[in-house]
Amino acid sequence: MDYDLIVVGGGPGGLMAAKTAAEDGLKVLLVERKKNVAEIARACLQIFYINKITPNPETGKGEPNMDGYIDPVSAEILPEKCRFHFPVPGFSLDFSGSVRAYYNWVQISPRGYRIHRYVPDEKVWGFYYQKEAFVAQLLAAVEKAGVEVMPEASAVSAANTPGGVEVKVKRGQTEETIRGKNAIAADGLNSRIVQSLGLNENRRIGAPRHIVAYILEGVVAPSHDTSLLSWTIPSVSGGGNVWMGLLAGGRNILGVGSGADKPPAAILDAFLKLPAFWDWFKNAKVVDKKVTAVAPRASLKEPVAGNVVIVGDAGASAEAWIQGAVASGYQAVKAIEKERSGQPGYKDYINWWQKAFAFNYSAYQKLLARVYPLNRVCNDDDIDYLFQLFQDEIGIPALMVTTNLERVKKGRPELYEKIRASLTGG
Amino acid sequence: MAYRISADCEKCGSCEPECENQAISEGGETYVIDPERCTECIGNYKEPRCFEVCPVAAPERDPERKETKEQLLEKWRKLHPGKEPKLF
Repeated sequence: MDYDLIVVGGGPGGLMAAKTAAEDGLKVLLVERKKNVAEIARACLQIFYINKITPNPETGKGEPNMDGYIDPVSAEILPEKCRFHFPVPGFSLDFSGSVRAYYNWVQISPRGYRIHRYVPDEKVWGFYYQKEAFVAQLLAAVEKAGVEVMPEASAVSAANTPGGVEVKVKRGQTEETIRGKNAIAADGLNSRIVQSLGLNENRRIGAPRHIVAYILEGVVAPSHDTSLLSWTIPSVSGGGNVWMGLLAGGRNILGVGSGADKPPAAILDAFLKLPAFWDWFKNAKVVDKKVTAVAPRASLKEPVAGNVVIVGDAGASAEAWIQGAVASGYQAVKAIEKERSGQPGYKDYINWWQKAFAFNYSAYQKLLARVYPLNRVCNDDDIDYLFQLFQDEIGIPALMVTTNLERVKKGRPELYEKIRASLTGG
Repeated sequence: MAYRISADCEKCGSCEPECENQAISEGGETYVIDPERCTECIGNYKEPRCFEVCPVAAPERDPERKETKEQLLEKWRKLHPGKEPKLF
């Protein structure tokens, strides 16, 4: 065996796994396809979510952070640093870098009607944290712990062998086979390791969605410095959406998502022409751009295959979030260590995984079915009407509408019928 | 024709793991396609997969690299010995 553990992928999940294993004395190799391991190439909101409860799709009540990691977590803000606590796995991580608190999540209609997802300014529901710094600090800890880091190396497949695993790695034109006792697949949404192990059968559940995020300076919007803003504007973004979050240095990140219906650049162009928000962006300057593609899949029910354990987005449905990646990286190593000492580590990991992520709950899947049709069946005028109707209440607009549909019937019987038909599929 | 990646590439890397010929890798300013391995997804998909996943439509046909469907299929067979191409 060349290594005790081969970690594929140097994002938050892989780095946390490599750090944890090396600190526990294992001989670890980390394989990463990028040249600069810590570079964040993809668009990301970089939010550490706290206070999460899976929402109840029947009532529309509950904490409405919809997917990702739902174990309780907390963030302690100290004078020099921030400490993230993960009490279920049982570890804490220090982070020194820019942090900004989210107090509000404001959902906005085409003409500017607003529905707050939380009681305004009442509590912090999450933090922006600078992911580049977070990943760079994890990488430094990985190197300090003695992990061998192999950049510019693309792991193309993994195969279980008796008592171990073989990982094929492509570096430039050459391909080599590396042997380990275990491997962790932390190679993200389009994981080649998961694919090569034959775990992707029937997992793809939609066409790739494209996201383009513009880094902006000079935005002047109501409470834009304490809020996540999200817009539902069918004429602009079709089934996609527009959102804006916080970044370091007073900057904002404006994300434009699209389905196959419209390219992101066209969405942004149309969005910036809307009269309701013209003033907010008239002095804003685009200083950078990040993009990403998300191919949604069903999550893996059992993220273990032989001697390979799958963590983070590689086994998730769309997004495990940074904190879910970190937690699963840690848990995967503990599972492997338990197995080696004769305990049912993999079984424990699978049980934890199924509980720790909202996307593994059938209630969450039901919720998705409720949330997404609204964008598709309503026009801008419908959305304005619905937002105006519910603007004094707190929650997710699509859920509020679909669970209180009778209230729409009086004023707009045709809209009521349209939404009802989309919910029943007929 | 093989595909190439234009300067519009933002280096998100979404295309890299999607390429079943392993033709894509990180270059200097952009990701790059190895024309010796690109079959325009003939043998793999109906449409070129990198173009389909790219958020900024950076992959494009390389006019310098004109190949027929038969030549591309031949290339695919060399890359995947013993396997059968998917034809659409």
